[in-house]
Parts: sequence; structure tokens; C-alpha cells
Amino acid sequence: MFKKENHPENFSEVETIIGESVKVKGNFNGNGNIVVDGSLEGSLKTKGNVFVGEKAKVSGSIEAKEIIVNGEVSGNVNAKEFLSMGSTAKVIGDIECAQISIERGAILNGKCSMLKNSANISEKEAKNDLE
Amino acid sequence: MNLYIYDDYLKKYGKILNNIEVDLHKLNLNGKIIYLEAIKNLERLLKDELSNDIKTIIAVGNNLTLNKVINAVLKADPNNSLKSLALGIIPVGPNNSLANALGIKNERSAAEIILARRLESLNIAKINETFFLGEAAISAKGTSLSIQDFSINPVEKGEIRLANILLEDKLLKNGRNNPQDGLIDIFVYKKPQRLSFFSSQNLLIQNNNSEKVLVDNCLEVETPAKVEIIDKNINFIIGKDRTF
Repeated sequence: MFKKENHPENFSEVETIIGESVKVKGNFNGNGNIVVDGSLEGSLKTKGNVFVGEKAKVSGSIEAKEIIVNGEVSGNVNAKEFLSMGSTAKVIGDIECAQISIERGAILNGKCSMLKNSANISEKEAKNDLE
Repeated sequence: MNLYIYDDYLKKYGKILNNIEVDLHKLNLNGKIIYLEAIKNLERLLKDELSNDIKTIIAVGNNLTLNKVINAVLKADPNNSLKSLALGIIPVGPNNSLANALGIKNERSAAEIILARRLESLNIAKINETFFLGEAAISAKGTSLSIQDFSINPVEKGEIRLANILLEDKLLKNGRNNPQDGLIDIFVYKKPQRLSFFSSQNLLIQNNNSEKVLVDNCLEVETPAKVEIIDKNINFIIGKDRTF
């Protein structure tokens, strides 16, 4: 879903965009991919992926399949598959994920734990690579 | 049988109307004509006509004409006859963004499109007690939108558009507007590159400045206003150049 520079490939793949021009308050539940470039005060949960932009501020937990964080998150982050923290990311909270990538400069104040199925995912990917 | 509903303001378009009638006659699309100015209660009249085997109703006019017809048809529909009914529009004069969205660019192309009778079953939105096909717009300043467990509060000036069918603005058409998905597409923006986008089956609009919501560029509705997609679709006659 995401391009190399950590941004959604196109608008039509994204179910929701919380842009810079809005503040969202409350608990947001979705099924598709969500981009946060603005402000969210509350939890964010989706079956799809979440992209948190550089200027975004999230005060609440995030739960999704893949999560890319480039902005500020004050809350727990749970990525079922993959979590990427860019160099401008600041996470104050515990993170849980199957796979992780952290760029130099990212800030994490919290515990980091890997999900039990992370080994399975790595095995599956290794198998796919061989095929 | 076809029913043509002519709006009040068409008197000054006499020559255009003549041409339309000639085109319809040539294509054997004649039907009963009703002039809105002569009618006190369109809903009651349509109730009778719908039980008289009317299969096609064509609004001749603009966005407001089509809106009047949609509202009257939905309120008149006694036996759920909408499944066998088709609505269309012959656009005359300005403020015809709905016709444009349906792929009917002008009155000269309308007759051929009505003859081809290509139908799409489209969602209908409702704001308070008014039904609409296109979009509802309000300034972002002082407005908040409540959706299920969360609220959207714009933090800068701009515009909010709640679209069943998004009208006119090509900049916003990035592939996410579908009047057949049962959802209202919500666009909050000042500049398209700073767009916020959500979708929901229903929502509540509130405005601190008692600003009104402009519906289909033709009528105003007071806030607070509840917006939803209703559970009835209507078949519309569309052209190949439809925008959705």
C-alpha cells in the first residue's frame, strides 16, 4: 500500500484522511487504510493500515495491520503485522508489533514487545522469497 | 408512458422548449406534460400518476426542478413503485450541475439519452426532511460534524461538502465518490492538497453561527441538520459522460 517514501500510493486506496485542516475527537473505527495528517484526540482502530504524517498529533491508542509513524503519538501502538517509525516519529506509549523498523532520530518512550506470530510472518516471507 | 414536468421559470426559454419538443416528437418520446406553475400539490398529482402506469418522469428545468420531483416522488410513492420507475432531466438554463453529473450536458443531447434509457440505481440522501441527489455544502468556520463515536472539527476556514454525488468540483474528484455505496462522502478542505476525507451512512451538522446548508446549489436548510442515505434507491437515466 505504501510507497518507498512512506506515503499512501493514491487517494482511492485510502478510506479516510484526517487532514491538517481538522481535529477529530472520539474513537475512530475503520475497515480500510487511514491517513492522519491532522489531530486526533481518541483511539484509532482499523482492519487496514495507518499512516501518521510528520505534522500529525494522535492522543490515543492506534491498532491496525501496518502502521507507519512519522508524527507524534501519545498512546499505545499495536501493529498486527508491521510498524515503521520514521526519523521524525515520537511515540510516548508502549508498542506491540510483529515486525519493526526504526529510523535514526525516532523517539520511543515506552516498552516494545514483539507479537508471538512475528516468527511465523518472517518464515512465510522467507519462503515467498525463495519461491 | 412518459411524464414531463416543466418548471415555472421556463417561459423565457420558449425557443429552446420548442426545439426540445420537436426532438422528443421525432424520437417518439411524447408524453404527458405538467406545468409546475399550474400545480398546487405535486406530491398528490404524482401519487395519481404513479398508479397510472407512468414508467418515466422527466424534470425539465434545473437542479431545483429535479429536487422537487425527487422529493415529490419519494413522498408520493405508495406501493414502492420506484423499482419500475425511471427519473431523468432535460437541463434548461443555468444551475444544472446535477444534469451534468448524470452525463446530460445540454438540452440537445437529452432526447437521445432519454431514448437510450440507460439506467443506474442511485442512492438518495436526506437532510432533515428534504431528499437530495447531489451534495450539501456549508462553510467550515464554526461547523462541526458528529459521526457515530467521533466528531470532526475544522481548525481553519474552508468548505465542507457532504456528497452523494459530488457536483462540479473536478479538483476533488480523485476517484472516491460513489452514489451506489450507501455512504455520504465527506470532504473538508481549504485547498485540495489539504483535504480531509471521511465517509459515513449518517451524520449531524452543527454550526455556531446558525449558518445554513446549501443543498444541490439550489435550496437552503437550517442547522442543526441530520444527513443520511435513505434505504430507497431511484433509477436515473444517465448519459455516458456521467461524472461518477
